[in-house]
Amino acid sequence: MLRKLLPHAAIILSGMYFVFFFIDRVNTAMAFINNNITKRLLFALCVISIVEAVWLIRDDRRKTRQQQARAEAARRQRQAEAPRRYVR
Amino acid sequence: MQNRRRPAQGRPASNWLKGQLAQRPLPVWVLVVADILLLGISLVVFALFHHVLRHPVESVGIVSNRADARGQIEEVYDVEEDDGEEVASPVDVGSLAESSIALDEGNVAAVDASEATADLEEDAGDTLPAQSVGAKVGDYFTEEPGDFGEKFADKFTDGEVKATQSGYQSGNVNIGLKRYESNDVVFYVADIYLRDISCFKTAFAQDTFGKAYRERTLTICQRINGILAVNGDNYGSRDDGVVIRNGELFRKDNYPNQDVCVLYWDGRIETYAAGHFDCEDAIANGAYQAWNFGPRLITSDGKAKKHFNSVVTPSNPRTALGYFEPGHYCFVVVDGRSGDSGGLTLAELAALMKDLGCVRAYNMDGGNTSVMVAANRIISNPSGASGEGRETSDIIAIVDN
Repeated sequence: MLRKLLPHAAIILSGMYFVFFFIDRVNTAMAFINNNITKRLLFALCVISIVEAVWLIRDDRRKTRQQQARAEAARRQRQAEAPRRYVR
Repeated sequence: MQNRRRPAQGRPASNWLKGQLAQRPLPVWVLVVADILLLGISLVVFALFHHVLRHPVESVGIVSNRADARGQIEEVYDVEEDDGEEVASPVDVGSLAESSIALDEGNVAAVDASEATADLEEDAGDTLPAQSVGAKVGDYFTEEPGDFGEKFADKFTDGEVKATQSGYQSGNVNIGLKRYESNDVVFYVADIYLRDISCFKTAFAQDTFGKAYRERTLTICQRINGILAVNGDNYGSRDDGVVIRNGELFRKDNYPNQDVCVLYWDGRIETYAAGHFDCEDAIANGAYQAWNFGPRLITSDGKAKKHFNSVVTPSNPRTALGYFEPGHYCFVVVDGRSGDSGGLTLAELAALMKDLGCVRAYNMDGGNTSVMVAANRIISNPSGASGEGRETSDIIAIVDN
């Protein structure tokens, strides 16, 4: 479930930062970016991004390994079948 | 099919939902709408915590010493090049039709704190509280910095409180109030002479230092028996920026990104470019008030600034604090966002302050917050639906103590 929710949390936090970025340019004195709440939100966004990135890298590596394993299996199968074809 | 409609007996609903989502993900438009809704809710919650829910903040608690304000602070320098074409003052103050603002006798009597002072003296017996009774300045504090009794002796009465045709005069304070009007701008200038720097006060909304405490300028002014007041720097909207009020350091300048204005106990005002203000130095040198909003409007060599690192530069209602010499200041409020007055840009405001003769000037919170009050009434014409100015965190006031 967490894996399904975290990408949405990242989208929402990033969307909030887009809004802060623009309204901070309009009124810097209100400190929409430079305040404690926004700093905590930024921290949360960083944590979510790292967790997401680690999951993505892990999945990517797993997928690559599976592809390699499949390719290796196919190669072995071809090797195993090759002499028989030669015999024929 | 039965499994899709409802959770099977004995299985947790979350497992059933997980199974459903694994089998058939939600449509894209549902996800987009849900994310946008959640984003909106998150922003509302942020706004609630950022500037609606109030909570007191503990003061740093360091108090500056009035005697430390003797001597010259090192010269303040400009870090930015501010050359280029001069910005013309929006109005020629000398030739402009001006009208004095007479204060109502009844209202002036209401804010005259002489009775309160008498009570204070009675309570204290022979021991007068330091820096509190301006009327006694000549007798007790002549050695103190910030005593301008001799310097501006002709500006004050013998103790009589007078609502003059052009303002207010007493034994401690002389205020000249004028309204200037041109084709497209209306502004108010309060020319202030003080016998003692302790007549220059600041006050917090709800009498509390904290986040998101707000009150109307007039209400705060009435509570402290102020004769004249303008809105301050609205410190409560931010978590950072120096706050020194009436000699106490409430908040330090941890991440300096805005210009700072400091009034020292000896009556001098200095403005510092962002990043060039040292809080410890200021306190050690007798800082009495410090504001963090800006920008400063006049450079250290006395020129009106023309370029500002701000996007709030278009014409707007403005509040500015001006400094001529120790003991002599001015408050300027510019009406705006109305048919009568469009307001001023920061460069125009800087040129105006220079025209008035200020050697230092600093921009305070503007827009709907800009308001000038005197003798229990609003003098300026604040923008916004209420007509009383937006609620603010703090004010700058002149009291007759």
